[in-house]
Amino acid sequence: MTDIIWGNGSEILSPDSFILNVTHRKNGNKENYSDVEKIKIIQADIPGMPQNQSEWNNEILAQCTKDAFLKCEIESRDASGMILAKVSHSGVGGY
Amino acid sequence: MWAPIYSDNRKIKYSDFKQILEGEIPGIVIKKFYSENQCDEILKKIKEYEITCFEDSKLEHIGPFLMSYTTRKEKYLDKSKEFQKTTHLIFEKVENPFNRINKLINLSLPSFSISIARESERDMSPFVIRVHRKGKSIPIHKDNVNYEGKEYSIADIEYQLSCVIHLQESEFGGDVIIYKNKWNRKHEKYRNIDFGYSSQVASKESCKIEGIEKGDLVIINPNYFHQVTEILGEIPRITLGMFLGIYQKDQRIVVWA
Repeated sequence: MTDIIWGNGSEILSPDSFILNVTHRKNGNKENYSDVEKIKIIQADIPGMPQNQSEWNNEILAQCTKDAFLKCEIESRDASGMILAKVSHSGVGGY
Repeated sequence: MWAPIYSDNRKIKYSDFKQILEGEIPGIVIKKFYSENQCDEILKKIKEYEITCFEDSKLEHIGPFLMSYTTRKEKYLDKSKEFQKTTHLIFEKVENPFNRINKLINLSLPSFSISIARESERDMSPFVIRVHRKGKSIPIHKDNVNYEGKEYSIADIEYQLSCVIHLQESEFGGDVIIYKNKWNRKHEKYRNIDFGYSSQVASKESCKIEGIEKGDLVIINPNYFHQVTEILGEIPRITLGMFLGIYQKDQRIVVWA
């Protein structure tokens, strides 16, 4: 089972990475996650983010992730401590 | 006191619209927007649709709504097209809600034009019917297409209103509560995982909209936090919802769900 964390996007690090202020963690996650994590996006499902990754830049990423509540499905953590994750805008699905 | 305006004559004053947009009132209730007989006719058709299409499962929605398709525009537009047949079926004998809202706007805001919102030269879904059964509640939330629907052209509207027609009320529960607290991006830190927000966004000043009856239309500013309390009765709460997007400068209103 994939580890999942949720939280709000914060500082932009590069066109495909940002800081996540973690607010929720899935019960049963295998790893521990701190309150602030660096996330590198390996796949995105976020309103406003172009499908083509070559069109991503810091400004677009900021518009789409700053303060936004995001779900990160974690693939791995690299040697620098950066989390590689599938990132989606969480819980806008309506009722 | 923060209280809604009630109207019996299917007309709203421009000043009422202004008050709701500015949060000076929590809502407007148009009594008997549909008559009891008209609601019964619509409910009969919904029941027929449910039996045909949802034999083994519990129907919760009829029609697509944009928030379920924020990053899947083509799918939403395909579903909106499919839904057109269903809307003709359900409103075969009763005037459809878009036409009725159109008349309300023509009477109340005669300088505004109104149309179904379009995207990629295709019509969006004009409304969604929700069937909420015992135990269901809708947590505190807001609706804001500028923020969540940014892949759609209607994300550039100046104001958004929510219109909900109450086709059937449950015997107990299912109350609409509006909080005098307008959403902003900073509130995103109070989000729940699945949907909605923690009770920390609930302001002390709030309004339970009283006296909603079958056939009434309730208009709120959905950018203010709101919720529906748990349905406690055996009779499902059935509503029809649509949004109005207002382009003030262009004197134009678009409708979608």
